[in-house]
Amino acid sequence: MVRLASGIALIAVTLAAILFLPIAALRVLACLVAALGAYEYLEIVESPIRAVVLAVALCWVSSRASMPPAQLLLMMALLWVALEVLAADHPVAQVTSGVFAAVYVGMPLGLLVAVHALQGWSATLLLLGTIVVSDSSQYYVGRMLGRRPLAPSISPKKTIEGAVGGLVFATAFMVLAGARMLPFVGYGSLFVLGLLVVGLGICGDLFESRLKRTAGVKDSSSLIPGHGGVLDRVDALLFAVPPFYLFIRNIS
Amino acid sequence: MSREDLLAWIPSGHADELLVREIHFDRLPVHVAIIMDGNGRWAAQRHLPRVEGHRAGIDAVRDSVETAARLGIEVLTLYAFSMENWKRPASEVGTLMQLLKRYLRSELDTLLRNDIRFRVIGRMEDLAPDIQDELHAAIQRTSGSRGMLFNVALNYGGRAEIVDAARRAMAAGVRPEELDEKRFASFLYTAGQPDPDLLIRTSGEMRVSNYLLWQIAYSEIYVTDTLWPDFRRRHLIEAVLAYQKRERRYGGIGSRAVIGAK
Repeated sequence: MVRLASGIALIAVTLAAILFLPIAALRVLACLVAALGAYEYLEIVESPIRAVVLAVALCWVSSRASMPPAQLLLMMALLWVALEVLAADHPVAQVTSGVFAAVYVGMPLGLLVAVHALQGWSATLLLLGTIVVSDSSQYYVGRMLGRRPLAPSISPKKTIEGAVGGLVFATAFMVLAGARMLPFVGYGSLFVLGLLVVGLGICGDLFESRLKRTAGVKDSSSLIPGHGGVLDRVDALLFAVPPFYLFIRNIS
Repeated sequence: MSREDLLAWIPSGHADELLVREIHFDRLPVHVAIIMDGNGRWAAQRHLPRVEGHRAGIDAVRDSVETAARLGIEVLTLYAFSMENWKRPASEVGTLMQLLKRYLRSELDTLLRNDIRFRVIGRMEDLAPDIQDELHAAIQRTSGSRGMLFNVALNYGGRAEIVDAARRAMAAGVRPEELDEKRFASFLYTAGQPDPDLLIRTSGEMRVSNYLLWQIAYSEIYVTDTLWPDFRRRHLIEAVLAYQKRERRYGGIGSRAVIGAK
């Protein structure tokens, strides 16, 4: 019950934000979510929390419609690692895995806003809808037909059948809804895009499971009642945004 | 509006001032329709991607809309996107749609300030939902304006419009013997609007391209070699002057002048 209620609230808030907020506000919102997600990630990998700043910075610059100045951020990251290691005396591996928060959480959330800036809420909802359909069809098809585990060492509950179900239904959603939301894009492109988004989404899901397994936690945090943390909600999205963004950038 | 309105907007001493003084303001075309052609060619001449031509075309739209409104033209109809344009690469169409959205957002205040009413003709329901939203907002916000009516043809096809009108007439239960030209016109997207007096096409092409097929029956056609991104106030005034030199006969002999008659 708690899970359902907070799930509905989450969807309502997300929808309202995408439909009614101006780009500037969406940018701030994405940075806030990136900060929470990066915080959870940094906790998991036991890296200094202040790398949240990097994730927010990358989210901010990625959210612009124009291509972000990547070099600038990479230089910032380099300086960051140098200072953390030399001045604060943190282990290199720990610091570098903290810098990854920017790439893992900051960039995709920023790119999601860039999608909105480039092609409006139609495109943004198309991507989020595809991920939602993918997540739920994986779950239900897996529960009904699931036999063979997909990645037993990472996530025992995921099955190959579920993944196939996600690919089939969510790609179908991408093609059908895409024809409505982006009427000038051909079915062929939408089909390929659907497979990419769903496939990478599943990878994102598994990646986060592996992350948590390594740290021995079940949820990334308990921020959202019944759903775990921010990362648990956006895990598939984080990997699915980049190909979708590249496609949108290409048609804009 | 009037000569004074237009002159107030033109810097004094500007060459356009002389042109404006040649206009007969009592014989203006009531409805001007424009086929905005040549964006792609304009870009190609500069070795730029086609979309840059569309981007540059926005300035021409801005200038033409304001000129027409100040001139006192009652209806301006621009051909922005035809049903056949879907065949263009997705990247070009995607950019066009976003340009449209940006134009609406940035120009809404100008439209309101000039008391312009915005309308869309064409099958709007096939456009992306966020674009439809934006269009509805602009239509709604300018619905109280009493000045120039500004139609934008989007996902428009002249034949499709006639088919849609026939469908609507049938759905309204019009009996065959009741249907005449006037009644039929009331089912078109442009119901209640006067037919174009002047049809302008840029970029030198001598084609109608499925534009306002029913409405341009007696329109004067003016073709200029100017590419759309280069089209400005001066070119619109030149087209109006050329129109005012023509003798409109509507199929009669017209030895007595019905020049530019409304």
